[in-house]
Amino acid sequence: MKLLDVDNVTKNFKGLVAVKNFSFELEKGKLLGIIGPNGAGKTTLFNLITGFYPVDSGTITFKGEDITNLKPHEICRKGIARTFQIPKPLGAISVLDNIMIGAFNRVTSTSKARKIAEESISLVALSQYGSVKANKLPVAFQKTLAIASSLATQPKLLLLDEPFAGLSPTDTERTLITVDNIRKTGVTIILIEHLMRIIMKVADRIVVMHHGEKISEGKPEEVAGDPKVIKAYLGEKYALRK
Amino acid sequence: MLRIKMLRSSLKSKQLELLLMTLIALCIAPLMSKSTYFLHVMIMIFFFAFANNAWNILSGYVGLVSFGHGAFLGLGAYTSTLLLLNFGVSPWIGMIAGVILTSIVAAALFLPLLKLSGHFFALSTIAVREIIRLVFEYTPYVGGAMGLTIPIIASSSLYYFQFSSKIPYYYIALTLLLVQILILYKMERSKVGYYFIAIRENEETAKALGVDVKRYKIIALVLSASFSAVIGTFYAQYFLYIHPNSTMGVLISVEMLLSAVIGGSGTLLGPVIGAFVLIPVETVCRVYLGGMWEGFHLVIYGILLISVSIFAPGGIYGKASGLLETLRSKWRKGK
Repeated sequence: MKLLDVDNVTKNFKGLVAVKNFSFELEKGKLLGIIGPNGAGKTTLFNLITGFYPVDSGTITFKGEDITNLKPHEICRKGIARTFQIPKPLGAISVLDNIMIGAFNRVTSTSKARKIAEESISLVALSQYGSVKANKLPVAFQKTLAIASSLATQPKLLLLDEPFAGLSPTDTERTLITVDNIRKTGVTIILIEHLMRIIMKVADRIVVMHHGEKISEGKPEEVAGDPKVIKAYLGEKYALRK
Repeated sequence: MLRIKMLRSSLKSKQLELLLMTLIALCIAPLMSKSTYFLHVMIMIFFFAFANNAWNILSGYVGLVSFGHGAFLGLGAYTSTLLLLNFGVSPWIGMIAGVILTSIVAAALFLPLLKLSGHFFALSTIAVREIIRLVFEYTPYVGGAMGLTIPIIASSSLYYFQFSSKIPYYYIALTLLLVQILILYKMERSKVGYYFIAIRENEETAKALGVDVKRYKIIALVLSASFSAVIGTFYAQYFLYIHPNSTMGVLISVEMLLSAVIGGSGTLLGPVIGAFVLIPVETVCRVYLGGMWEGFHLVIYGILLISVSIFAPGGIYGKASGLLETLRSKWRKGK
């Protein structure tokens, strides 16, 4: 079943085309990876899907419903949650309270929200930090917190913006387990990632962006072998290594 | 584990005990002291605690710092007073009318400002408040710069909200404050309260987590303005004289945030604690230094404000609860 359908979406910033005639589809329960060099328009694409930016043209359909240009909170209500590249926790309140704010997306009662938050916090293995103030957490855990908060909104689709960027090997391993646990609950995921090593491992399909356009799409091994991709993205990197 | 739980519950019951004792003390205080001076200080404490709590909703919880709350207090005061003077309406009904009118004006005039952030919002509230004040100052129908005097209609009448003794005012102010604290207590622990804090901490994150930021800002604005209007009516009936400068001016607007900031903004008890610290300072200064040193309390306010900003940015309440927490954890470790 098609969960998300991004059709011919374009976004300009005063002449700079950030996303250009971009289309892709996403099946329920899959993990889609989006890769591309810096400035390729990956985060802009997330901002378009989640309503943080209005699209210039094109349509976005979620569960058969047109959600183009809805407000961010309305899209969250429909069942799409997101994290940010740089975590922006609600610093002055505790980790559990942060997650509860996500949980209030579906419930009104505080006790129910706390229950949902406790489920989310244990799913990402952050329970022991529940009462710590969010701004006291190390950045790696703030990223995990962001995942837990967005999970508490009970989404069908979760958009993760570079959850692995800047993490130590231990934290990377921990986050991989978290992503895997989330997949097991049946949540569909779109993941923006720079690290090829990780995206090759977790993604079912990969979309490659370059200058706001889709230059390749397919299974990880297909994409990795695509000459266009190597030229635009991997090529430079590999050339540097040698 | 069990021991910690018992410790917690005993702490909770101790807090409850303390709260009850304070309440009882506040309730019987007027019976113990016949001094009208003491009663006046207490009434002013309740008054400013209430007004600062009102400010705290929009500016402490949601983080939209306002220097314009005098406008709401003034609108409340003027609405009930004009209804009383022209139509003989009971100030209690006037209070409700004031809440409705102030909410409408707040929504209409302050709504566009909610888009602004940080100091731009703060500055714009000064401008809007000043416009409202000037309109009142230049409109003869509402008394103009002379203001309005409420004539003594009855020596003591609950209907007309007029009493010759200060004791009824004391109990009315105390009741208003307690009801307000109860409402705020509920608010703080509800979805609304959580969403308010989320908006203050990070609007983008709040949006991503499903918070309708605009809607909740309006809710905070209307709640905040409504409470200000309520205490405005109290102001009018207590002093029986209002004019644009005293009810809508800079001074009252700043006094509506000073106790909250010094006590601890964005907390339930911060503004109340702040009022209990500041108001006695003010009245003592006025009474004992009034002749020669007029305005000396402002110097002390200034010193307090600077000290709080440096040593306790979270206000007295924030500092105290932080200290208590470290003491507790030390004690636990020692056990």
